[in-house]
Amino acid sequence: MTIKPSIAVVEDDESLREATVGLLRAHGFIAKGFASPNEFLGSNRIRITSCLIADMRMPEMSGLALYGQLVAQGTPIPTIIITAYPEDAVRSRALAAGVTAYLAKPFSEQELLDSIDVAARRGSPSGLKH
Amino acid sequence: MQGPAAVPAGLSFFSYNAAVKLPILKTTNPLLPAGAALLAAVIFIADTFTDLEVAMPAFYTAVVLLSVRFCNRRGVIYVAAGCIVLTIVSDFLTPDAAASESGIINTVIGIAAIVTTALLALKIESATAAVYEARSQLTHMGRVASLGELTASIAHEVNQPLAATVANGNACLRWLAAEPPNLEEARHAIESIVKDGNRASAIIARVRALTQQQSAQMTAIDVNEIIREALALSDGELKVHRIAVETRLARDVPRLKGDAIQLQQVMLNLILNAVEAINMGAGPRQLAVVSQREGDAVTVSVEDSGVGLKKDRFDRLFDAFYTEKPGGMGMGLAISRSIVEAHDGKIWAQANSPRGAIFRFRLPIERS
Repeated sequence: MTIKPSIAVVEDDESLREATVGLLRAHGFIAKGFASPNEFLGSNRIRITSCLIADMRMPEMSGLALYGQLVAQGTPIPTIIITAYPEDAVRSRALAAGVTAYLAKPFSEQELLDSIDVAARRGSPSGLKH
Repeated sequence: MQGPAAVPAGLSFFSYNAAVKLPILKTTNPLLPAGAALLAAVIFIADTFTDLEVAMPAFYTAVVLLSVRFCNRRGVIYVAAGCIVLTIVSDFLTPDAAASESGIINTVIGIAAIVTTALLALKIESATAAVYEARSQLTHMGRVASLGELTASIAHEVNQPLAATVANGNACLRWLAAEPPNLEEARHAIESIVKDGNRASAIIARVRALTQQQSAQMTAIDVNEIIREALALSDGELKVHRIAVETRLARDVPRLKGDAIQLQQVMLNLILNAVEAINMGAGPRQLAVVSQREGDAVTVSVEDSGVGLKKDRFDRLFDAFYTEKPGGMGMGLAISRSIVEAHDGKIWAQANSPRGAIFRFRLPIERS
């Protein structure tokens, strides 16, 4: 049986957040948008989220810091960082910290889907569900 | 100002700062031409009907000098020629006095004075034009430099709607390919694409407006609108540096005469300086932009919580090539001052409490 993972999109830009959620829904995923890291952290969706897509630069906390916070509190989620300021140094740092993918905006549909695929494998130890 | 004037090679940046206060706009006060005509009439009458042993026509130089305030180059030449004609006509009306030795000498002195004054006035006029041109080129350079600093965040601002457009386009294709096609979702995605397209083009329009080089265009402007535009342009930069912005804009600010793009440049400069000052400090990251009506003037303040300024340096801040920033050029505030002063305004800095700096400029509502 194929279970489509539930995806959280944390992005402070409303229009990009809705577009990303819309694209994921068009592909049959269950997707929910959050306007800020704290909104996501304060929600009850952490446990049921199998993949996190987070913007790098957000006012309260960067996407990478959000990932770090999730790891620190014992609820790590495979994370895809999206950024409009791609920087090699940040990419290396993010990947070294355990982030699944680091995508520059505008990202293509295919690279997003591929990254979600990788995240789903990482998320479930059996790695074969999807 | 009449016609484009080339910048003389010898005109250095140093002289521009002292020279920006020169009058760059012709006055439209109707009293001035009337006063000049009256003065010419008085001199003509005195020259014709009194028998003073002075070179009365020399006083026509005052009329020529006045005419510079309200005439273009050709107008000044006509006024000077008119004064010479009046001098000669006066001589014809009083042939006895004019034929005397002192009469001839007075006429020659008078005409020589008028011609010399007119030539000097025209020369000063073209020097002023050159200074003005140099100033507007500097302002343009300053704008381009600020945009350079903003490039990364402008790219970000454009990339956001682009990313949304690509995602919505893909989603739309997907909804259309479904069996049966989900037209409602597809329509929704396309509506978002249109919205994001407009958003991206609004950003480009702002950038284009700032890079266009044109001489000052004095129109009725809304100071609050200028503040909002500058904040919109620097929005990305403020977000990246996680700076909380508070705007307190007065509702009773009347429109005033000014160049919107130049004043936007001043705002942008002050905002970017504030961002840098905040980054250099370790305190809270706050920026407040305030507009206030104060009597017959509008005051705009940019208040930051950054490193602040050295107390004895407040006056020097606005000098060209003076900078407290590592790697700074020291041109931004000098250009800002020249713009504000060209608007008959004033710009100054003061300490903020408990930390940081306040940059403030005041523009008069009524300008002569």
